[in-house]
Order: sequence, then structure tokens, then C-alpha cells
Amino acid sequence: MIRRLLLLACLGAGCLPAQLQLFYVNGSYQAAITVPEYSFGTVAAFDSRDVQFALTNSGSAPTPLTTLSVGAPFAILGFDPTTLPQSVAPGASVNFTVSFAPTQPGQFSTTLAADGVSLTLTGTAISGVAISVSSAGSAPAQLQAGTAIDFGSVAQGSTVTQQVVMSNPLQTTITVQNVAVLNLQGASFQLETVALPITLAPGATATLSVDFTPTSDGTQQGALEIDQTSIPLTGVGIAPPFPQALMAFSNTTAASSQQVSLTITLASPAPQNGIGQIQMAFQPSSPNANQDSAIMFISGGLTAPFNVNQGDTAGYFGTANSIAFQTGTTAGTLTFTLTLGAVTATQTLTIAPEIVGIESGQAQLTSGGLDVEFQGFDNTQSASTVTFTFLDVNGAVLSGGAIAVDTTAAFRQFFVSSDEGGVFAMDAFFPVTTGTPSQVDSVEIQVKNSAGTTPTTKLYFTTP
Amino acid sequence: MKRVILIVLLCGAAGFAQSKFSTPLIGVARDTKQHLRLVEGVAGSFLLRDAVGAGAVNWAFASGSGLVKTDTELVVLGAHGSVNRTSAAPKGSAVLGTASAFFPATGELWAIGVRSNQQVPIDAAAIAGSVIALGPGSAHTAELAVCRATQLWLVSIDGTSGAITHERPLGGTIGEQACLSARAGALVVLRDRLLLATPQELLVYTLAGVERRIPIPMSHNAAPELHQVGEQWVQVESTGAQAVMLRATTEGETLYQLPAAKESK
Repeated sequence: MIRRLLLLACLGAGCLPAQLQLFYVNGSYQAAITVPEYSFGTVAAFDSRDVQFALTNSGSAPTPLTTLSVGAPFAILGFDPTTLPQSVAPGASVNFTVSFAPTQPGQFSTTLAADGVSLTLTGTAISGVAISVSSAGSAPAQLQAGTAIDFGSVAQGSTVTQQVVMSNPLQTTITVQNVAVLNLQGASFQLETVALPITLAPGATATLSVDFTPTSDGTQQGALEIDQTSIPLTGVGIAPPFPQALMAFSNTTAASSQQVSLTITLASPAPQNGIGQIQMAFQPSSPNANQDSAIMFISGGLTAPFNVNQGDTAGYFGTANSIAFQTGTTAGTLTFTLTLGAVTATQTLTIAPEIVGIESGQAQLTSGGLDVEFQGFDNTQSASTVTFTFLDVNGAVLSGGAIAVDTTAAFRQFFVSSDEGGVFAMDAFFPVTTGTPSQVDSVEIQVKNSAGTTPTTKLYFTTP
Repeated sequence: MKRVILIVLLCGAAGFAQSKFSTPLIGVARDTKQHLRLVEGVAGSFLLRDAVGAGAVNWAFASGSGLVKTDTELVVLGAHGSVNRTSAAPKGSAVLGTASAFFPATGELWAIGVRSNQQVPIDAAAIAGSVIALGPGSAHTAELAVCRATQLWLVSIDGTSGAITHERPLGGTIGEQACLSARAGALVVLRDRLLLATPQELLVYTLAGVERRIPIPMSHNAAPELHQVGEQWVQVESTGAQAVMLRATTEGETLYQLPAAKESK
């Protein structure tokens, strides 16, 4: 109401002369319409043709726009009539679309009327069919003129079919001479075989089947041509799903300090090339276990990318069909999660608690005593007692007996500071204050942890 | 009487046992980015640690010490890969043991001591061949693997005078094949065995006269280079292939893959 009063006030106050001029618009192209008539040409009944226009204020002062109208079967689209009346600033434009959508054959004419503008619109409608669409057994739904038939998202190689029902709502017989499908790219849209011409008595229907079988990823567009009627076709091609992938290990009863190979097998040939990855995670059995940085793929890290090639049933790590990983030196569970497109798979490998593994060692006689070094791993990180048994050259246990050293705290303190799981190197030194160290020939070592006691490891003494 | 002394010894020792713990050091290996790195862990559970150098044309490491040859320098490594000293050295490649270095460009043999390097006055005419590898030797002896024509010899040299103290031809396939190309880097001499890399396989010859053949991952049919990376460990380097670690024990030889380096702690 206020807007209307303002407009009236403007007009009553003697606004400077203003003028609305009509333009034809096609994208960024505009052309002033200087003739009194504009033809929409020939359109099939139940089809439509849209034309864009603009009303531009070519004056130097605001001008009111109080009316904008056409008569059926023309209609104004893209303009909200409730915004009338409105003031159009100098140089400003009001854009709108006029749609010619006849529902029966004939010659049509109307007037596009706006403030100070009058243009005769004409159009011819020929016989045409009304279109309904159904898919997957659904009831046919009327397709509005200019609306596309949407096939949705479909995996490459798969087919979705839409039933296009042509009906004749007119009182006269319609004969469809030509039906065809056009593809803007590829050949994803196909028309199933149909006998032409198709004669439709009043009220009769005929059904066409249009298949969408995407040949590539992304949006695909085409058109279904029924004589003079063109119906847009659209659909989205998506990558076909990969078959289920399985992981297999070269050693199903893995233990610590191993390098195990992992292979990937697909349940069927891959429908396309693809890239996936395997994520490796480790959960130690003991909550007190330290980090085990040696648990990793040979390629480094806990993630291994792989690729599959179309037609293959195996995954490849670079050019190799397997990848090794290290099991580390901590008891626990390794979990492998494979991701390939939408396919995921998980597999676990349990590293059971083991007795301490002694890998190597050295024993040296020094002037100050006996130096015993040995390296190994304790995947339970629970080593408690190390027993050293010294032997003479004849292999006889010296009368001092086995020397059992409680190393529980020392081992614990070391593991807490390490990020390499259960690996350790122990250097035990036995100062000799009396006697002759060179009489000692060898030493036997045993280590006890929560899983048991190691077999005896024997080291022979050497001199530096 | 001897037994009594030992009893006393062990009774005395038991009360004073001292222990310390550390992470086991396997040695020094070269990663795929050509960086020399400390390798910690145990067999099958390796962890590559900090880089100790780049630009090495050769290296050898065992028992907590080793040598690195760059184009113009010889670097002496101590325990845990620390650099003990760096010396200007003849340009180019070098044949390295863990305590000796031979420079083909000048024919010099250096004995590497704790505090200094000592040039050993060797007689090239007496050597009478190409030095393709150095053995572990001892405190006073250097051990050279020498190709004399097509035959491989092990030649022991006095570390002070340079005089040959012992020499013997190597038999078997390795004795015949090691000198076919006389290629440095193809042969490693360990305490109890020799390893020779050919484009097809790895040949093992124990000093007890036993020969073994080990297939190894290869690339481009090029013979890999061998480097001693630890007391029991040899790295098998093939261009474009994953590095392989060979462990030589009294039970035989076992191959492992050397993982890529992770961020160090």
C-alpha cells in the first residue's frame, strides 16, 4: 500500500518523462523489439517453447510498472506478479520469460501488455501427444512441458529404463511419424525398438522404452524426439562398484619379529581401474605396553596404497602383487582395514605372547670382570629374572651356581623409555675382585617372562 | 685349586652384577633416498633411525664402528653412528672394510685406528692384482680380496710393514666368478664366509669350503651392490628394488626386506 502511494506520489509530482522498452534476450545477447509482433513459431501440443524478454527503463527518471500480462496458452514465468506495481529505476530492467505451451492444435495469439508496451505474440500448435513417465513399475506421472526425464544415478554398465507413455487427449487421431533418441555425449541413452508410425486414436496410449546405460562418469544428457516434441533426457553415470576384496597373509599364525606378506584378491574381475589403501592398526595385549614403531609396512608407515586394474582379480602395490609388513615385537592384535571404492574389508592377525627371544650375544673377559651382552625381544614386556650360569672349559657348571638377577624393574624402566616395542639389548657386567676371570669359558643365559622361560643360550667368552 | 678360585670368583661376582639396557643396534644401512641411517631392532623388526650421512660412495659398519667414503673424504664412525673424525681422502670410490680402506685411485691402503689413520706401505707388485674387497682382518693384519687375472685370492697383509703374511686362492664358483667383472661392491668378506652378488643370485662361500646359492630380488638384471652394515648383516642394494638385508649366522643366511625410514624419535 505504501509502495502504491509512493508511486502515485511520484506520478502526481510530475516525474520526468520515462519509458519502458521491450528487449528480446538470449543469454548475454539483447535486442530491442521494434516490430509490433513476435512469433513463437510452431510447437507440438503438450510441448512448450520459452522466450526471454526484458523491460528496460530507457529514460532518465524512475518509471512505474503496474501491469505485465499475456493470455493463454502463453504464460509469464520467472516474474512474481505480486511485486506489481513497482518502480523501475533509470537503466534498470525487469526480466521475465514468456512460455508458449499449447494443449491443442491451432493458431494462437495474445498481447504482451505492460505500461506503455504492447506486443502481439503469435504461435502455432500442431498435433502432439501428452507425455507421462514411469519407471520400475511405478504409476506414470505427467511430464510437464520442458521438463527433463531424469534417470538418476546409475553405475556404469548398468541400465535403468524409463517407460514413456504417449497419450492422445485430443478428439482427433494423432499419428507419430518419428521417434528418436539423441545423445549429447557418448551413447548412454538408447531407444528400444519401436514400430513406426504410431497411430493414436483419441484417448489411446502407446509406450516407448528409453534405456540409460552410462558409458562414463558424470552427467549425461540427451533428448527424446517425438515428431516436433523434444524431451530432455538426463542421468548421472557413476563408477561401478568393485567386487568384494579379500586380504590374505603369507603366515596366518604370525609371531613377533616377522615380516609377513599381504596379498589382495578380488572376488571377481575389477570392472574398472581403481586405487585403494590398506590401513594397519595395532592394539597391544597389555595396556602398559609401549609404542612399537617397527610395526609398519615395508614401504614405511601404517598405510599402504594399492591399485587394481580393470579385469584383474588382484591388487598391486606398485608392480608387486604383495606387500610385506613387520609384526614388531609386542604381543597384541594387528588389524588391517582395506578400502577400495565403497568396498571395505577387515582382517586381524593375533601376535600371541611369547617367551623372550634371544637373537645374538657376546661375552668378553676383561681385566675387570665378565661382560655379557645379548640382544633380543620380549613381546610381553614382562621379563623378570635373568639367570647367568658360568661354565668352565669342560662345560661344567662352576660351583658358584647360576646367578639369578631380578631385572623386573630395570626391564620395565627401559621399555617405558623405548618406542620399539619389546626389543632390548642387555649388558650385564660382573666385576671380579678375586680369582681369575680367564678360567671362565662360557655362560648360559635364560630369561623368564610371563610366557615362560627361554631355552638356554650359550655364549663363549672372548678377549677384546 | 682351580675350581676353588672360580668359586671365589663367582661368589664375588654375584653380588656386584651390574646391568644396563639399550636398543639393539643392527648397523648402518642406506635407505631408498640414499641416506645412510642407523638401523635398530632385531631380525625382521627393523627401524631406520636418524640419517648419519648422505653422498656416500661406499660404507662398511660392524661391531659399533665403521667407515663412510664420500667423494673426497673418509668418515670414521663410532658407536651408534657418531662421527669420530673426518679425513681428506683420495677422490672417488674406495674399497672398505670396517677397519681398513683401499683407494684404487692411488693404490693406498689405510689402517683405521681409534685415533688416527695409518697408511700401510703395500707393494703393488706383490699384490699383483685388483683389490675388490677387504676382509675384517685383525688388529695388526689387513685382509684383501684380490683378483689376480681371473682368480680370486685372499691376501693377508701386515698392518705395519705391508708385507704379505699369507695368501691363498679361493676355490669354487665364487673363486671363478668374483673376478669376471672385477667389480667393487659385488663381494663382501665376512669372518667366516664370502658373499658375491651376480645379476642372477647371491653366492655364498664359507671358509670351510661350503657353497650356497640364494635367489634375491633383482631389478633391471643389474648385479646388486653388497655392503656390510653390521656384524652379521649385509645390505643387498639393487637399483630400483626394495633394499634387502641378509643375516649371516652359523645356521645360514636369511633375507629380510629393509623398510623405508620413518620419522625418528
